[in-house]
Amino acid sequence: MTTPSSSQQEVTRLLGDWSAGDEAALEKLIPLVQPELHRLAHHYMSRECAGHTLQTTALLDEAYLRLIDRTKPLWHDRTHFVAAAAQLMRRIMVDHARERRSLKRGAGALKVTLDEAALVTETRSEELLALDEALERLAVQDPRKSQLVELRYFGGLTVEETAEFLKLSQRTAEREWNMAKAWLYRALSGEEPHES
Amino acid sequence: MKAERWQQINDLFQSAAERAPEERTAFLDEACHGDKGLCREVESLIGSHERAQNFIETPIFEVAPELLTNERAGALIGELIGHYRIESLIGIGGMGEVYLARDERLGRKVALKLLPERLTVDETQLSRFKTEARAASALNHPNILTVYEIGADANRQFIATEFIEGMTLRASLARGRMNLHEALEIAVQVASALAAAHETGVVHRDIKPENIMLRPDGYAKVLDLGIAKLTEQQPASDDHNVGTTTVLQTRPGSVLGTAHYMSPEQARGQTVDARSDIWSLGAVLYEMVGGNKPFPGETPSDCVASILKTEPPPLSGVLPDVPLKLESIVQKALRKDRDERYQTINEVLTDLRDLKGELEAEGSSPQTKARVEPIVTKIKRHKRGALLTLAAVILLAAAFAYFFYVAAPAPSPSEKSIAILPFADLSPARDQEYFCDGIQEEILTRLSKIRELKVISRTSTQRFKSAPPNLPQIAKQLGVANILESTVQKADNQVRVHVQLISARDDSHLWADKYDRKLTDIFGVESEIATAIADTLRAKLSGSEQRAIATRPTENSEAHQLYLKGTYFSNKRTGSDLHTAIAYFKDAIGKDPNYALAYAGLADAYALVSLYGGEGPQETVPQAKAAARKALELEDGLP
Repeated sequence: MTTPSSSQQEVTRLLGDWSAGDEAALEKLIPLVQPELHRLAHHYMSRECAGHTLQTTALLDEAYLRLIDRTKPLWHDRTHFVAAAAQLMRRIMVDHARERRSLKRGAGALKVTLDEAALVTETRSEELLALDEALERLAVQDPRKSQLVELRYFGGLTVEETAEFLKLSQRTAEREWNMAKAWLYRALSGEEPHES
Repeated sequence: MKAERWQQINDLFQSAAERAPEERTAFLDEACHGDKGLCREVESLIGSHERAQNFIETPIFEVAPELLTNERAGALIGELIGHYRIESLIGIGGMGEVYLARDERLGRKVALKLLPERLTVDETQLSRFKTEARAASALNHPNILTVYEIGADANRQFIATEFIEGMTLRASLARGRMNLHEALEIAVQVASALAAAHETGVVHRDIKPENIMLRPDGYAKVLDLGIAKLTEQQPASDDHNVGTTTVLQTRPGSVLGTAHYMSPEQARGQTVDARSDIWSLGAVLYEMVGGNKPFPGETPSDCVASILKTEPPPLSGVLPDVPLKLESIVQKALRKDRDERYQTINEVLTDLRDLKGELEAEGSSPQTKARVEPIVTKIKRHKRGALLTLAAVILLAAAFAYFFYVAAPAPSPSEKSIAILPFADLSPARDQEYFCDGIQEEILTRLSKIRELKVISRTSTQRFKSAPPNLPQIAKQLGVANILESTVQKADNQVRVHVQLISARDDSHLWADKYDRKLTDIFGVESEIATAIADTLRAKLSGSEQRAIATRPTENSEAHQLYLKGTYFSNKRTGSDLHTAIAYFKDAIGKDPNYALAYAGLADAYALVSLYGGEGPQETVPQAKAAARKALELEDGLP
């Protein structure tokens, strides 16, 4: 293993602080991690043109190798990093979706000649924002389910990996997933019965 | 919700989910001990569980990677890129964002195009592009957009060009086909721009109506000369320095906007030379004169198939008195074998100029000729004008609704705020849910258009679908001062819509009305209700808002019904429902091919299928784009 660079040490330290409950560490992490995720995402998307399929796991594995000082005991476990990265992915993607929305608004919607690709992105952005809001609500009620969704949907973890990370049996992880999925699905399709 | 209650719901959900579907009702009846609320909650979750299918099963990065790579465009306003200060956004496209900016050194306005990172990561490709773009920027021609600078700052590549006010040929064509004189004038100008480019060895590669700008003073300007080079991929073995075009890049956010004007050799991924631009100009000319694309197709692959195999119908089919010479120019430009085509753009230019001269000499002003079009076409076009407005409304409604939603988180809601609750179905058979959802959405869409009015989005109001009527509480939760509560009864061809507008503050009725209508006249009701609400809440309407509220998206009631059904299924967000929605939208389009709203619905449904249906974006995104493009075409030409 090569000697960790100073930025690897910094990212590793911040991730440690964040895991220990320091929320402010997240704000400092985003600018350090985002460029690398961007770069990797571009790289994977251009490979996709050549017929490869996109894989969240591959993306985050590579980010792990590049960003983390693996000499630190907490971080020799890849899952631990992916769990943190899942939250970062969510944050970054939701921020983007919000920017898209405000961009369109700020530009004076009528003037913007959106093309077809941009319109599709529009729909997906709105959908992601709705999901994010629903996840927030779910977290208030049941933080574990919300985290489970984050790990799988944003971090690309498998059921097995999720179970291991959350220290649940695989069966429980599956059951929790099913209910979370049903609940979120209902929230997004507007079928929620009224809660008095 | 209390933790205990949640736990109870969770446990019952798990137990019920593990039972066979037919045993669940009996199980829940017993397990809930008469707690109806509990029973309903679990049943509703079980229902969602069954419908959710592939929902969120594929990690989001794999279905919508563009959301991770988006550049932080919104943050750019006011920033300095190179020596350009960003002022506002002009447009977004597959080729990047275009901003109006001020050149701080020379004090002039420029259009600044920021190239998407994904196009500029490959160094070799970037340098090939730069070579070509530099050659193009050296061209000084009145019909070529002047390039001031191709540069880069730390993060991105940009192109600064002259800023022109005007509209694209695409926008102009959305108003209908042009008269011969105009079309020829534009074609001559574009051909002369291409002649200058070809002379210096630059091939445009992407001539299409979106890349031709029309200035109010009559000048046509060709945009993006040589930029398409960026999207070409170098073959592995660099034989003859030949570029191979990647034909069908189907990834979301990918480069290729439209395949309609692509030459057969481009479609096959072969070498591209000047004759490819001749083809594309021929296709543009065909569309300007005939009003339709010569090679239509809903998806890029349909389109490519048509380019490679079919001959476009002769222009005389649309325009009986089209000059023979024009027909032959178009045909010669659109020969599939490029060796049979015009060999140089100068030959095209000569023919176009000759024809123009002849027509002018004949004294028969082509303008008068072109006016002799069937009256039906005119009526159609007029009708379309109205549709366009509404299409724009629907596309923007969501954005507006949200804007008002976030812009006023004030504790005491503005008097001019409203939530449209789901319409209750009072039909004997309770089978009008789609109709209720549809009419709610249409009213919501219309009201969302009014700037002064804060309208709550559908997603937020839907959870009150089976709400006990505690309106003040609902209003408080949604942060609105007013609530519209309504019922729909439908029997055969008769519809009764009952609405009441309630002020949440004191639960008082502000306005109520009953509408008995024939099904065929239902759009009228939607407009009337929306207008009455605006009046009652004293929201000021601008002229365009009034028109937007009053417009009918279609005059075809069958199409409208189908559209409502499509919307209903689309909102359910499951793979199979989305496919049903797609079928309905397509049927609606079949009934009214100019139904912009139905195209917009279709585009949305396709885009959602990749998120919910477990199908790869490869299959659905091109279709989403094609439908969106059509909706945009119909929507263009706003007041």
